[in-house]
Amino acid sequence: MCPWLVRRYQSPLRSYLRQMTAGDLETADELAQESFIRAYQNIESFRADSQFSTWLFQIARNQFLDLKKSKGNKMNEKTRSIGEEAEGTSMIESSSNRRIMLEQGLQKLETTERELLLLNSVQEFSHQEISKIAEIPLGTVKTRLKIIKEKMRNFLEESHQ
Amino acid sequence: MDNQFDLELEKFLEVKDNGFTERVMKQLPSPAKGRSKQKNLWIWAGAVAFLGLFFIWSLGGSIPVGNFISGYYLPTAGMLCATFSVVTGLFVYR
Repeated sequence: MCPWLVRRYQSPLRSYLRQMTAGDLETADELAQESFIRAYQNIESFRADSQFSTWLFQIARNQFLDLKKSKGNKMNEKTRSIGEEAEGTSMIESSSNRRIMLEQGLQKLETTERELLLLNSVQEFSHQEISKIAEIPLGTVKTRLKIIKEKMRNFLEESHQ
Repeated sequence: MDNQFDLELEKFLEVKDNGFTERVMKQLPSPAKGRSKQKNLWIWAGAVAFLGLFFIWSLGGSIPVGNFISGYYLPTAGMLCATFSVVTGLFVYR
């Protein structure tokens, strides 16, 4: 695997996993690392009918689900707010108020909602691709994304006032 | 509005590399380790065939089993094929 490929996808993948693990940076990075290694080892099974990023995120999601299944409730004990560790992220660069608001908004969403929003915004996956990764029907993805974005926008506007 | 929100969220969630790529690259198995057992077997088979045929070729006409085996033509051709398969195998499967 070429280093540029890892460099290209590390930010969206780690960001996605950080949100999925509710801010457990260590676990998220371990999962991301393992996902890249699995992708490398199973590159022969990658079919060109989807994008590499879709396939990579599917691997990452399965890794997360396996871990969640094996750890169960213990996973939640280790979690912390993403904002607690701003080092290494560009969060420092954002204005702190807006950052807190965005973070609070994301935390208010359910895990599935957060996942859909992240896949749509961070990696700019199409609705079709999101449906494939999150294993949700296409129509549901479209409807839910519309509602989630509205929810987030309302929250941000309310917080701003 | 949608784009602005997406951009804002994207910026907010951006994660800097901080040596992550390097750590992943170190963890990846080297191509040599990744070679399958079957491929290794073919290289070994080629190498053994080469040595065997070289042995017969070096004995030349001294083996009293007729010209077909002890002669030069077949062992020489075989040795060339075996050499070719070993070299190709090493290049293709390395």
